[in-house]
Amino acid sequence: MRLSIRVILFMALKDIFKDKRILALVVFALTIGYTNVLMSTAVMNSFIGLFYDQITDTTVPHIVVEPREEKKFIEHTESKVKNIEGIAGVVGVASHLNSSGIVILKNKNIGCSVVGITSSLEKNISIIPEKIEKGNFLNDKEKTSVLIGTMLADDLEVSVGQRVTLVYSNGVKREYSVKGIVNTGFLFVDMLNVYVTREEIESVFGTHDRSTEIGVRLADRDAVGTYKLLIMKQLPSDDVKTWEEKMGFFVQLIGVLKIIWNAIRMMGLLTVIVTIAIIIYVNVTSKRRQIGILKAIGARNHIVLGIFLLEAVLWSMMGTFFGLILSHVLAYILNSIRIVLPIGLLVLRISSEAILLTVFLIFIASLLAAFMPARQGSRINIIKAIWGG
Amino acid sequence: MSVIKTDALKKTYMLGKVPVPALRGVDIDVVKGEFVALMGPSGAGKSTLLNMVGMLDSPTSGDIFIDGTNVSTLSENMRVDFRLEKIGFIFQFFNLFMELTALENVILPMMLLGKDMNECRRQGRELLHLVGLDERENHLPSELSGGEQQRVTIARSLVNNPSFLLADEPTANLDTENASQIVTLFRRLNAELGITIFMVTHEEELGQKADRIIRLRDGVVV
Repeated sequence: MRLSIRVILFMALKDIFKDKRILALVVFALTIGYTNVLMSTAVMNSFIGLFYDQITDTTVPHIVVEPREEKKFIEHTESKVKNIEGIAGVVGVASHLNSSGIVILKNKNIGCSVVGITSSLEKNISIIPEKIEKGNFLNDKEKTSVLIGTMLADDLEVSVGQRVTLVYSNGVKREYSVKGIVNTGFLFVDMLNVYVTREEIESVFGTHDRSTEIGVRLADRDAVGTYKLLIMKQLPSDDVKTWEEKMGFFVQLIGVLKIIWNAIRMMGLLTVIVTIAIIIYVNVTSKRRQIGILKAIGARNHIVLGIFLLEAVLWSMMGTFFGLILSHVLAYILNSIRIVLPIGLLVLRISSEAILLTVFLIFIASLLAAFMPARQGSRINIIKAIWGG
Repeated sequence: MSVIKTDALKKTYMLGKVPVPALRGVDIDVVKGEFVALMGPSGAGKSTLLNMVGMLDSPTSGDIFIDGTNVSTLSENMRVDFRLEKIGFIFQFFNLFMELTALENVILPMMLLGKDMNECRRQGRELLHLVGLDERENHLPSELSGGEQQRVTIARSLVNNPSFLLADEPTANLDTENASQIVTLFRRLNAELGITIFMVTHEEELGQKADRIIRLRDGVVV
């Protein structure tokens, strides 16, 4: 096939750079299209990643063991915790004894979730110990203190050191000193949760070695399915759920958001496809005579096809290059502004996977978009092209 | 030795369902080193015959021989290669690539043949020198006059050492002075280098400069 590539490259580059203003306009359009695709991917992945991280770091561990529907508690918690800890790949296990409650300060009373934690183990399954905004975390034996979510504390207008009354679901009413304010940035934790020690809540409910949930943290969050089966075998009398099953509604919600985001991404991709198709079509139409001459002097159809396809690829490469720069600049600016969502601080990350996927998609889209008009150009009748008609 | 030979060449176009004969059995024979002008009134079939000889179109019947090869039966790709290697085209509207310099326009057919770039440039410069455009090799067509553009086209047509040049009304868009220069150049190429030229023209004065005139009327040689 002779050295067709050289001619294709030579002619494509000459054509692309013949008019700098048009080149700038085309590359700008493609840059915007590429940025749209990459940024929508980055926003989607960052949002979903943040949401999933916040859920599994603060609210629902990777795997949750709960009592069966007919039971209120998981029995023999300590031995079960030890059993689960023995499974390779499990990085942390801790049990909670939870209750609903009402927290009262002066004339304000607000419903809340009371989470009974073993303070020394909590760090194994959540980041709550690291998220003390004011004050300190609880000690295992502490019976007179609580931690309160920051939004709940704001609603109550309570600060560290002040005393609040907590009414448990069984009607027991106790008074505590606020030892710390928890600020995870995750709405559901900061607005609802009050933390007490396990020892304290056991005394409220007059129970021992029982829990309402055992949380399990894994080295690999994506392996929950496998570990769920392993834990189910060890604890046949309890209900074992993955965090996705436990947060079913929210996971479904994210699924819907993903569809919307993907639709936006597809629109961006479509913009790129249409832009390239129009450019190549206009190029082919306006260069009929030149194509005719090229074919008349001895260029085979594949050379003409190759020139236009390569132009599309080169344009998309330039759009990709500048789109990549623009996307990183935008991400840097948005991260500097600090976008705080109800689920936490959104940090936009443009992953190498997203870049590779987008480059691949744009590359394929460019070729597909250019193919039809390029083929039309390559099949131009020489006589009609040169002499009209 | 025949460079171009046609045998009972016919071409009929269809205007809707109505057949319109353009060539009605043309026999011509152009031998190596000849400078032949193809003349005739409008609608005589000059362009049709040029397209056939240039292998840009296929005859309805009859045969075309280029350098002794019957090109009527060649495949599309073989016709393209044959054009590239055997025919130098010179069109009425100069038809240069506007984004390429004079030198790049000249060497493009050599590049299509896959020749070494240094060799392409060397030969391209030689040809530009031959047509008197040594100083203009880096100029774009838009920076050249009509006559200069046509000379670049002539240099391009010579680049692959073709069997013959096929010129379609090469002076039609030139003023008298430039037209005269082009004709002089043709004569020089023919006389000094022995290049075979098959030229379509409607200008009697230009035709008279050729060795021989083939006159076409209503699709037949008269």
